[in-house]
Amino acid sequence: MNGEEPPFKRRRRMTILMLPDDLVLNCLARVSKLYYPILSLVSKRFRSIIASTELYQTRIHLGCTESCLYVCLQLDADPKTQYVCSHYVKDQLTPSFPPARHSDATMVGTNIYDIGGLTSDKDYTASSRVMVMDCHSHTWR
Amino acid sequence: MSSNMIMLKSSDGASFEIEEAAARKSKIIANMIEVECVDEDKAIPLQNVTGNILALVIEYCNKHIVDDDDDVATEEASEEEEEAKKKKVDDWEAEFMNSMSLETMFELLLAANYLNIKSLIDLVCQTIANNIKDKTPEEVRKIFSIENDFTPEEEEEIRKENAWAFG
Repeated sequence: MNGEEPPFKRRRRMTILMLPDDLVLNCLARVSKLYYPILSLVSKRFRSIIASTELYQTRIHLGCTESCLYVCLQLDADPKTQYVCSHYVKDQLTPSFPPARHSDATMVGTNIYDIGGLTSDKDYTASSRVMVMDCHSHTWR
Repeated sequence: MSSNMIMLKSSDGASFEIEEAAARKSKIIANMIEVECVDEDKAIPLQNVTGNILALVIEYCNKHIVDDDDDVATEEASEEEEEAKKKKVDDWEAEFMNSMSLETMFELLLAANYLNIKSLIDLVCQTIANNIKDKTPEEVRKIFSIENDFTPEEEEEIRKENAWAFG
């Protein structure tokens, strides 16, 4: 009552960042992938956890996997191959460099491989390029 | 046998009496009972759990041990009854989680982790996940008292990387 410290030590306020990684993983794995790009902006620790392979292992372990439909579009009017993901309907996952025309896509594990095609419509030269889409991070590499 | 009582002692010295069957929800305590290192006259000291959090853990365990007993008693229960019972448990859990602050939730999660009570870990993590989804980064930081440790340049870079998600 006289303003002195209470006899027991004052504890610091508990926050989510005081939880060990496996518990933060357990929480984030239950959130839809849809929110991951937004959550990776929260803080550096959030970003590194969301980018980690452990998060996807935890999702599998908890049975929190989500189905995601990828559609590969090749239109005659615009031979540029485009990929659209069902989770991000309004967005197109356009490759960051000019894609080959008439390439083939195949899926291995969680990656989509965009293989070959023609380098241009004019000279019909076959392309030997392979692009890989990582469906965890939705990025081409 | 099932009415055996066990004493638990919190880190701040509060003692709680709990049925052995309820205490067995904690794998750590169940193991202690198995290897007979529980003395009937002595309380089990739980160094990492304070009295107010231990009271919540015990409330959860007591509630769920009753439900588990019910399951055994009504093996022939119809699907509808099962459904009604599940809804009752879900409602109780929702109310239980609603009654506490986020800070308490984190402490409860740490205690459930320490005591190894899987169903309670699942319940708290799911509740925290529900608080995270559908929020802006600023809202998540505010709700969880997280400091933004990105520089404006880094933030801009990440926004660009994920441009497809921000529309």
